[in-house]
Amino acid sequence: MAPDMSWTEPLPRALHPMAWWLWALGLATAASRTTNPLLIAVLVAVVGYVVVCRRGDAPWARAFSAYLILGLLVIALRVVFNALIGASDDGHQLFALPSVALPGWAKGIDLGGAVTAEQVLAAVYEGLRLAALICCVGAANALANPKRALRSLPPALYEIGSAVVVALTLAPQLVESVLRVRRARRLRAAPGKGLRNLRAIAMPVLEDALSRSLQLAAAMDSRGYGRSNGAPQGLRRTTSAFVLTGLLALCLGLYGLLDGTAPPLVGLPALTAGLVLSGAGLAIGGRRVRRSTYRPDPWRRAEWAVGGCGVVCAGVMLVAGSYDPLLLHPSLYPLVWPDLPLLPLMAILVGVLPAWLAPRPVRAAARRAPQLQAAAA
Amino acid sequence: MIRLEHVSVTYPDSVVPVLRDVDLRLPEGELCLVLGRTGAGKSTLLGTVNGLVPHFTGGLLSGRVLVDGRDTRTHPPRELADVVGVVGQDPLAGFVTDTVEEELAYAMEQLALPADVMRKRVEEALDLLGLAELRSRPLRDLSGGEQQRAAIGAVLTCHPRVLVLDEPTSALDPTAAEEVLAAVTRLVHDLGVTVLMAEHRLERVLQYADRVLYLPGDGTVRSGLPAAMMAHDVPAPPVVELGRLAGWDPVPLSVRDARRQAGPLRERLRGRRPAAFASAGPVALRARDVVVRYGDVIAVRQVDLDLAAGQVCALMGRNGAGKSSLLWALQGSGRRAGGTVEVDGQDPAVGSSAQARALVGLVPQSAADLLYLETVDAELVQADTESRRPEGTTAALLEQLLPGIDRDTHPRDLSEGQRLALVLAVQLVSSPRVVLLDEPTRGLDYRAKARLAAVLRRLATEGKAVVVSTHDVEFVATAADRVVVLAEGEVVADGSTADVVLSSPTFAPQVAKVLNPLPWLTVGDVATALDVPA
Amino acid sequence: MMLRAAVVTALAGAALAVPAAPATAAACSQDSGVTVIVDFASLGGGQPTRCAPGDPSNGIAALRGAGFTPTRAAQEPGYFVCRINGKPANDPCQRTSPADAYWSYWHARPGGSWTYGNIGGSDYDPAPGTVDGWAFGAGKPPSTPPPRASTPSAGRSPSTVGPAASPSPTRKVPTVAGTGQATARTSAAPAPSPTAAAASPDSTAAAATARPAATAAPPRSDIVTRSKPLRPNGIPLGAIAAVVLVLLLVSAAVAQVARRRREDGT
Repeated sequence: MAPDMSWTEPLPRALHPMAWWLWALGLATAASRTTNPLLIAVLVAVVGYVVVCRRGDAPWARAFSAYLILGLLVIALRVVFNALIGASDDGHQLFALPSVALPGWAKGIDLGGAVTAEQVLAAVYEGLRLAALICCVGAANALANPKRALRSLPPALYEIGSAVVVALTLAPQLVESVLRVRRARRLRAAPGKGLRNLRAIAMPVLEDALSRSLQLAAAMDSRGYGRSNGAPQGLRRTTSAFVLTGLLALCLGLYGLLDGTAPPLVGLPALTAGLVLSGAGLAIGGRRVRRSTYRPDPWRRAEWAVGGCGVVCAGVMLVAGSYDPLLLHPSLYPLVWPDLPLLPLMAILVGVLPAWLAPRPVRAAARRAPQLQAAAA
Repeated sequence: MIRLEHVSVTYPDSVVPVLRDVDLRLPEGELCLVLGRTGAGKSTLLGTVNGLVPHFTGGLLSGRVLVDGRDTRTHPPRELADVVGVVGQDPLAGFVTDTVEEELAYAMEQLALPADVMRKRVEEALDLLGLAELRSRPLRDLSGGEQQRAAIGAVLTCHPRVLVLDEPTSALDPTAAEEVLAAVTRLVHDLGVTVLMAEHRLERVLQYADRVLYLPGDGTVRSGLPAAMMAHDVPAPPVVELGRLAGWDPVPLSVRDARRQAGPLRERLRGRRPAAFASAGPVALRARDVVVRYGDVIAVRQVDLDLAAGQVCALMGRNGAGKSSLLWALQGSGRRAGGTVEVDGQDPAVGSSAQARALVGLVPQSAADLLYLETVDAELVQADTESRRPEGTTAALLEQLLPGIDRDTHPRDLSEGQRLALVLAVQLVSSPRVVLLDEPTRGLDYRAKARLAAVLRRLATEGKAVVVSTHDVEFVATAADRVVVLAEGEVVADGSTADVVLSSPTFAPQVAKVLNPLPWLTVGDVATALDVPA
Repeated sequence: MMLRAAVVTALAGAALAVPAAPATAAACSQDSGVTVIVDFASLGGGQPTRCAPGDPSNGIAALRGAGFTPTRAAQEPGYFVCRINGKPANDPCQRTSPADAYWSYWHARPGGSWTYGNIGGSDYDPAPGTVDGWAFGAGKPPSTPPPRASTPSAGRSPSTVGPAASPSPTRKVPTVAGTGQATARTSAAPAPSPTAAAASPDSTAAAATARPAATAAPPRSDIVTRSKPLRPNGIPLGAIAAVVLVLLLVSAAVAQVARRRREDGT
């Protein structure tokens, strides 16, 4: 695990997107296993630091702050709703809201009433955990080019990948054409409101979208998309079935792993089954697809290291959680200061290593630099 | 290279074949220009070459199409991707990825070429088409000409033997069109690629063509050398028209050819002046300090503009120079960050859109955006009610603009010219004093353009102020009294058509180039001056 | 802010401490109290039946009044009973228990049949003479039917069941409605003496002040509390360390951003 002693700063390049995703998902798994606000705060700071150190300057790289804001919003919402409906009598009262008497059948729900420190903190703890998950996903999005991530899908999933890419391309065009048609509607000063207006906008937009799609389909067809390679229909079906069930199992497994209260069968066993199934599907499917990738992202030592950091972080946290859950879930009743347990803290701090282990991204300023120097010479 | 043997194509919803018993043989390394009116079957002919017709479009193809020995009957488009490269009219609609470099590699990935070959070919294509600087730029941010070159590069990396281009320059400004055509001729000359190109703007491409295919519209295809074909009655650029008028033999195909023969004609015209257009009326629209900005980008920078009633004013300039933004701002529907616009003492941006529409009418670039009903008739009735005019007003207007449109057709099935006429009628029904048209000449053939020019002239004589933004210098020469040139949101030239156009190398029409330094712009003017029917 | 709120409520709570009768180890006679059955059957135990004398203000108070020791989930607002008398020990007592292994709460009339309590124990006020049942499992009612009322002659015996603090039969139990501070602790450490708690000015009664509706009700004899100021485990070293760490990372990130800006600027 220890890097080579002769390790020198690697040349700037884009890290394999899957490595970033592995790292981010590892940290997300770790975050999902604790409600300790101290651990989560450190984790978010770690994620933020890595993003700041290793993001490029593409538009999506600026998205991280948006995810942070979304996280804060989640926390705020949880606190507000908890204060409004989760009123509880016990704990240290902060202030009292006017309480609303509900009919007998809804007696279990309290609207308004006393708001206690414990209750607010419970909401904050839960919200922090969700916010941390959001931040992890945001970090992956900021660090890994989403389109390249799709490109590095296994060949058998190529169709899904290109469908997503096309959708990503068409979506802004659709928005654009809605705006254009709405603007054009003003020219006609059409009085139409409501349904009629909707139709007046929808018709040209849909026609536009349809003709665009047809043009795109024609272009893709004439550029060799979907060239048959003599694969029998049956094999293709088997592949699809394998991959789909495998992916379903994978999702189920991930859910089980992230949600501690899920039945044990849903966790690791489902994940393993999913991996095996989709692996088999991809292997069979991969053989029939004859297609190559332009400038494929390499998977080198840095990728192993970054992905490894995520895996280590998640693994240690899982072990620590099963060993002593109280460390990861500080008590609110009674209200105590949360501890900062050492082992989970170390696990989270492993997550900051990619800030140095990953190569620097190639940036536009750097791209321009040689030209500038050439011009100066 | 390409062989069509007794090819007929019939689409499922019609009984008349689009192509009838076409027999063609196109040798390697030729640039073939496909001519014909809108709807004559040009796109169908191009589509047969890589099998999009009938594999993608449907329809019945009889006969046989062989491309490099492969029969399109057994080879769908994707299996011909390594032999035929197709670039559609709107390059943006055909892009699959989002950066130049990835787009260039896309087709090669489909052909499963090894990574090192791909890398090499992408670099070659970047150099060949002058795209190296743009390699990592998003395709959507490129200018029209750059997009077109990227689209050509994207099919070129597969080293196709045949390149099919459907109106590659129709949306481009003159300079961008030159870039694209230069790239195409380079492919023909250096790589021996066979190019099949459909194009309405003959003045741009005719001089490069080795062969002309003419589709008269009855399903047949006439093939011949350009000079021979141009001697006959086929759509022709102004330089050919001038040659025919002056009786030159052989008919000149380029300005250079024409100039060599133009001496006697210049002598005959010396001392005469082209008839001036009607003098300008009172100012109908007065704009001062108009600013349009999108965030940090300033599209229109403090433009002052007076539009006189009875005048047709052409708005020219590169793609992205701010022409559309200015038109929308003048109409009042578009955004305006500063300045004033006044029509009859009123600002069209103040008040309802119905009021704005009664002051200034605008036909947007994608005219179809305004149409949403099932039939032409429904649209006409709707326009009457929207503008509170007696029923039939719009229909009468349309009849004046372009007679003979079937009222039961779906607006989508109209030709470009018919759709333009319909939208123009819809916009004119509220009788605005100022009429603005954004790029109306896109995709129009010569006949439709001539008709449009006549319509605009008539609107001017009715006392309206007309503005038309366009790249088409020949159209400007026939239709406009005045030319305003925009660059980076500022007015860089403003004057009578002759003044502005004659002094500019890019905006000068062919006739002006041939007869330089005489101030003649169109064949029609010359014909009138010589008293010969054009 | 929080500290002050705690003190205010503590004073209010102290004033409300009222005596209650001791628990008996059988069903209550007539309306003398609430009969409580806890079904440990699925945990390998019996089904002890006891009487919580008087009118306990809620289900939890009745449970305590009958001499059982509930433990609440440490992070769950609104008293969620995760253990009774420390069982089941394998529940982590963090948030709500899983849906197939939890303490379900039942009500019945003496000799009647069980109905599921759709209101939590801390919110439901059992009437004297009724029967409360707690059953562990996936939501099945207690395996024994609700007992009939015992005859008044049934001996009063002190209840000393459970490892935790149980009210002494002879001494008056200080009953304070409010925070459940001491309850989680009871399973881990010896509970503070109820008398000490009563004497302490710390004891709180949030409920009394929090719910205007509750003030009219008789004082709750439910949760034995020993409220503490909001700094329970001394100097929060862990928290300080974490804050320092976060600040370090944030300032490093800010420095990084500034450096990048500078690089881009040149």
